[in-house]
Amino acid sequence: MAALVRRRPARTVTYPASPTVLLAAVDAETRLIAAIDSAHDPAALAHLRADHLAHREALLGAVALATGSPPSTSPPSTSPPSTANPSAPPSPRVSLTQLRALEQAAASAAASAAASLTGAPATLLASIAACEASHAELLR
Amino acid sequence: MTAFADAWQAALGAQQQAVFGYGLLGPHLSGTDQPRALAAQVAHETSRDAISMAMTQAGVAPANAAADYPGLYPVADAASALKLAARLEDDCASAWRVLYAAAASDSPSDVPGATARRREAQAGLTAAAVTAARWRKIDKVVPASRAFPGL
Repeated sequence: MAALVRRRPARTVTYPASPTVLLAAVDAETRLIAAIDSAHDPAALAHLRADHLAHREALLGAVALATGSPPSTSPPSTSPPSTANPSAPPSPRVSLTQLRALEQAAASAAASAAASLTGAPATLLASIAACEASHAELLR
Repeated sequence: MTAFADAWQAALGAQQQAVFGYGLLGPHLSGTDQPRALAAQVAHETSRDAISMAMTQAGVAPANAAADYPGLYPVADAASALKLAARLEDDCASAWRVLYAAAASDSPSDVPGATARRREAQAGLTAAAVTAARWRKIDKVVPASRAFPGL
């Protein structure tokens, strides 16, 4: 009888590494969106911003699939800020050269992150990396 | 044939089509666009040859290129040439993305040199996305980028 009630070792629930990698990629997209919003002419970069929003949404979906629950990060606005808060200090403007460097760095980081994963999240990040490299090209 | 081998052949086929397609569209371009098309054609030839060599080394017989690609016609002028150039690159991006997915599968035992294949697929996917965006920018297509190249 004692064998029947023997306690099993406690199961530790560990998520695969992918949610951590994916959440870092979500943060990277959020930073790129903020950088575009800080550019001299954000309206001219609306298509790039839309791509990053799509990336962020897809990554959040991948995080939810990996963890079984939606992450608790709040999404950024889907539209660029139209008016600045007059009481807030002016944020430093991001030049197109700086934005290009940020896109190129993001492309490299996404490709490296993709290489550390397997399955659909890896392919998603590989495609995001390619998109961000194309952004860098368009900002030439 | 495994899913990876199918994807590998498709990536080779996309390069073969791009080589043929740039030969078709190049004469309709002018100015700096023509050498740009020639450079893209050379890049696809290089990629085609690299894939063929890797397949042969892995014991997979690379398929021959088609004699013609009727789906690429007609190319009548610079406008249709620019559109075809972007389409060729989009087709390559799709093939590279499928290859990446096959190489990044959770059970990569059927993938010869999985790490190298993923690296090549990432490089090919990125190059195709960048070149397609460049052609669309020249063609004044908005938006010039695709959020998920290869989809």
